[in-house]
Amino acid sequence: MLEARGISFAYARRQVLDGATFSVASGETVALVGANGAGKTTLMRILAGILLPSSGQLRADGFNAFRETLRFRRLLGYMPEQTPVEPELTVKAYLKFRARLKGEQVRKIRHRVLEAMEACSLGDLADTRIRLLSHGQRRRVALAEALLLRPRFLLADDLFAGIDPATRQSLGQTLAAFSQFASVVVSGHELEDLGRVASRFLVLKDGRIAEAGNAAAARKALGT
Amino acid sequence: MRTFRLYATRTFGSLATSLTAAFGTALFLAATSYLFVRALVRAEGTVAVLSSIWAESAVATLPCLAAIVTMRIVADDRLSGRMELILSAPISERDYLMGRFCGAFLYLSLMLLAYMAVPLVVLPCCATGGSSVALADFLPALVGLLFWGALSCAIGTLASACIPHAAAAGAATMVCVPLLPYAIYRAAFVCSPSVRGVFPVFPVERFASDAGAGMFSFAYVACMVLGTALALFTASKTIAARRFAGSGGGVLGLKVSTAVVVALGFVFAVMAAVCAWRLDFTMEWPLRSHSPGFSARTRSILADTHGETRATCFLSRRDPAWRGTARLLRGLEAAARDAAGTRLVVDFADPRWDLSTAVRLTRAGVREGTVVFERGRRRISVPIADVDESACASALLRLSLPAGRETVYWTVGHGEFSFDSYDPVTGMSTLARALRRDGYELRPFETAQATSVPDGCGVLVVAGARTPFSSAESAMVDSFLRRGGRLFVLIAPAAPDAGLARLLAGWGVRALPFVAVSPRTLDGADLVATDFGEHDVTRPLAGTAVVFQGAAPLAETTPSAGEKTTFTPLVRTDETAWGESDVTHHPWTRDASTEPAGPLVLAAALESGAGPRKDLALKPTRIVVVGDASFAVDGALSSRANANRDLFRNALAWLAGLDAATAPGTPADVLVTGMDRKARVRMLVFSAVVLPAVLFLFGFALAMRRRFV
Repeated sequence: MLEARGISFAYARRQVLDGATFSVASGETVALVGANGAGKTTLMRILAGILLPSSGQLRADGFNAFRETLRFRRLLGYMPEQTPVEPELTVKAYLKFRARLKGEQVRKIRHRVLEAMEACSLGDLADTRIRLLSHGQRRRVALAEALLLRPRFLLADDLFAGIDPATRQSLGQTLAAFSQFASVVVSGHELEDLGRVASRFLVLKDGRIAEAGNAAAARKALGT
Repeated sequence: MRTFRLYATRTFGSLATSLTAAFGTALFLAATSYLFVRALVRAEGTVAVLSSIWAESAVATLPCLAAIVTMRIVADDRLSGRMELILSAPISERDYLMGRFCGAFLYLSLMLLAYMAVPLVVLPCCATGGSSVALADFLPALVGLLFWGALSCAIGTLASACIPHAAAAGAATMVCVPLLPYAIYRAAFVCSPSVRGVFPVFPVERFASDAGAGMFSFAYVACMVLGTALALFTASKTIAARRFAGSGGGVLGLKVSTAVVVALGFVFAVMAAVCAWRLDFTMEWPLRSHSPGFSARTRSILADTHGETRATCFLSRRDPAWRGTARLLRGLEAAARDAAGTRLVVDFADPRWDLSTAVRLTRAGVREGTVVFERGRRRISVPIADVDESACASALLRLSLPAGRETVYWTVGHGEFSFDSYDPVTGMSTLARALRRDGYELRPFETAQATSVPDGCGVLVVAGARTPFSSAESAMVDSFLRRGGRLFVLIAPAAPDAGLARLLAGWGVRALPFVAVSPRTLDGADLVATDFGEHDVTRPLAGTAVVFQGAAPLAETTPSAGEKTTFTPLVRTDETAWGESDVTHHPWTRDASTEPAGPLVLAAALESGAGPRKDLALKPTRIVVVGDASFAVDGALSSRANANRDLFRNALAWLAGLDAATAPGTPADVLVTGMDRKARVRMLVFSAVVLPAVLFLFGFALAMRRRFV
């Protein structure tokens, strides 16, 4: 279970998050939505441990994620908004490198990589250099990287940005299959698509989190 | 450790297949090799250490290579967004940064090894008959450069962590490592005399030079190691600070704590360096033989003198000359022990630490900054500026000989070269210093105002007279010679008829109106002579070379004195030389009808009435004539380690009746590559063009393979 309490964050004088509080149970997928500049990416980065909040707590399965950072990061899969993969590596080589970096045992790496590639339908692209892939294919690589070690917590920022409907569906199915074992937070603007993978919505507005049961409620909360 | 290894491998792999790195490496090798070959040519024939030249040549260029290989290592991760993945992965910033740094440093080290091929492979291939080159000699220099390279890489990593744009990070590294410190040093050098005294050369160059000679000053090593550690620490904290982007208090705390650690580290580095500098903590490379190679003359003096001699270096340990002097004296001590001659006891007295010795020496009138040689009740002080192997050997020799001094009169008033002048073209002060150390007393002698040569004159020297002596002056010198006088004549350039030409012709020698030229030359204008006559003066010079510049050939004439004179050629050219009548027009070609062919005599000794007069205990007349007065001027003696000085000294010793010609004073470890102009060009092409091109093509092939295969 991932539990955020009173998370606040400010860039210089601009308050982005103001006591954001929510929780995600194990096996649950929630969608984080909000207008542009609402602070979704900032909140995802805080949840990923990339940024430290000015105040607030994050508990992961009961321990303080901000204090036991390395322990938390071992349980975390993070798919950033951009797709920052190594362009000169092949898909398989990149995933192997990331698996080793995340501390996976050498004998298990091959299995983990194959599993992640299969989950993200990357089998045909295993030996293709990443710079030759399309944006959608790169997003799948990024998701495979996040899923590599079967993380207990998965964060996917702007999951469907720039993705065609077919790929969205594919990514959604992958995520749905995976979310049975983990606490998943996905963010984005595509309410309908997010609604297919998430059981509930978290609406980020004025630095605070509001709960919404479904896409329609989220749209209403957002005022669109 | 896992992260460190992964990122080190990854960084090294990226650099090895990077076109930018390959291009940078080629540029580095080309520039450094060019500097090395240029320095090598300049140092030919001097006592410079090859590995020191090699290391010094890379001091300026190594940080540039470091800037190129490190500029992307963190900046690219920031720019591409990969830093987010790195910060969210279960790894520490320190491991990530150390891995990146070590990958870049490993690449840099391999490029240094490639640069090592220039002296170890290219040089022996291009030069024939030069000094032998061994890998072990270069290891200390390599270690010294690795320290410098590590510091450069660490600052490059810091710049890359601070500045997201790779080119700007590279430029910042170049400014921070070689340019800014050098500008500060130059400014301090210009403004402060004390800096000039303590650091006569740029400290990093000195560190590289010392490392090449196998010496590592703890002060420099401490500065470089701590500098590297602080730069990496700051870079690590710069990355960590990204986590605090929205936490004003947190980032302030991190910045303050980092600043405190850096400041403390800086203070510690300065204190360690100052402490090491004051106490002169110096490590010597264990693989290298540390005893300097001494000349045959020095070894001969050490072997021939007996009894105990004490050498006290009365100098502050902070003085820049201390280390070199200490090394020389320790080497002499060891050489004396090996030669089983004099027992040399070396002592060091720092005026600030060894107070009792300082008081004793000061009371005895010894000034600080001297090396004092003591034997029984006799003492010779050599100022630290004059201390070298030759000065020490001369001091030991003088202490072993009786205290009398031979007086040498030096004629003036005919445009002669002066023994008091420091002019590199007409001054002979270097030679005069050596002669005084050998025990001679030099006095000027105005022949125009004298009626006779003074009675105490041991040798009369006419060095490069440009106008003829008057009849009265010639008669005075002739009278001196007939009384068994000794005359040393150096012919002025392009003035064979000046000075005592007429007088000399009467004694059996004349200078021809030509200039000796030969294909055996160092710079095209000079002439290298290695053929020495069988004579006391030149017997010990076998195997050495004397370099002349515009020498007049000498010819034997029939003496008019009515007494038999023995003419002995001292120095001859080889067969390829000839007497050129017009040196102003190039190229020089021999006109067989008018110009004499080699071998030409360039120096000769004349002795009159040696046999019977020796029997009667009378002095025989002796004359030595050298066709070139400029062969012993300051410029000729300082530029190359030739045997010119030894020829002059031995000739003077023979004239003074010492009959004790000494072995050449040329140090045994003179740098000789044996390269002529063609070989130098060949070496430059191979090291500055071919080798960099090969490496670039290799890197290019790897980059293309990565891109297309």
